[in-house]
Amino acid sequence: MKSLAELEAIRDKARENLSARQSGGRKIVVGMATCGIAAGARPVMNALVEELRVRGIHDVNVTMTGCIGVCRLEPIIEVIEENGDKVTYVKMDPLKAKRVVAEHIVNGRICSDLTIGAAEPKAKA
Amino acid sequence: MRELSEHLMDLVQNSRRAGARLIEISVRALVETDQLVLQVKDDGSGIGPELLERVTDPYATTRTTRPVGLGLPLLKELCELTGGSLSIRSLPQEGTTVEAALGLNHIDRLPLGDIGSTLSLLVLADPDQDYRLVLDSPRGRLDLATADIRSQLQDVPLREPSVLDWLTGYVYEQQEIIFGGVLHEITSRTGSHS
Repeated sequence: MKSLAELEAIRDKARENLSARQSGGRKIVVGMATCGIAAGARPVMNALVEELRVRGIHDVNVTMTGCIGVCRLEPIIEVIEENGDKVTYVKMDPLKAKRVVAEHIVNGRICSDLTIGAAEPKAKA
Repeated sequence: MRELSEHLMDLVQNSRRAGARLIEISVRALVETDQLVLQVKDDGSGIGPELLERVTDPYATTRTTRPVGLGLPLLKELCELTGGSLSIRSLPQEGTTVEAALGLNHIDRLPLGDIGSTLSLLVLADPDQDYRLVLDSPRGRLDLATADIRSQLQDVPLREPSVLDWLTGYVYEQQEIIFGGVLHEITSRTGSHS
């Protein structure tokens, strides 16, 4: 059974690793408007967070945004590099989200087949 | 939406956009009147009387990306389908309270779903936002404020993975204790943490 008292131990343990963590400039933004949520954005965001944790990646911020505007392609995530470069991935699911972490975040290879450009060649990303 | 917690996530997004400082989420099972009441209350910018009147109209929205807003209409439809109703109270500059009453034992009531991971993801996305979560049934009550967790953590940030893990698990356990028996199918239908 978990309790609030446990937080003290969690805090002390977390403190030991704090200095090793630096927040980087990269982030992953998940579309979390009605359209995104209904299409399954929450399990996608969970999978991203989980995969980053498993791989020990602490310098990528995962956050939420509203409607990106292409509701039929939800769940949508955007990987935004420190220099502002952005890759938009569409029709995500938890497995695809883990792939994006492994290939794009870890190895720097964009998953071209999952991008908005692959889903709709004529659509503007 | 497949779970009520996804509707809660959606309502909270409205509150965040309204610039709320404190967002209070409550889920109460009223066994005697056979109601499950979800409430999201914020101290954000509020809704003016004109928009408030047509806020459950799918063609009413403040978004600029497209001309429809389905969050509140979908929830209203679900409430009414289960013999309940949706009510919204709002005052400009003071805040908004959305209350969704659903038939507790109605066959079309969605399962509650994973409130723990919903809250954790919200905290991760914006650790400075304050939340209060209340779960209540005849079996028990949880009253959890992120401000209390933050002060307990001192210099350790709320978005620390081990803290979010604890938060997800803690709420999950409490949800099972508080609603496990009264709303039996909620825990059995939720399945994994997803």
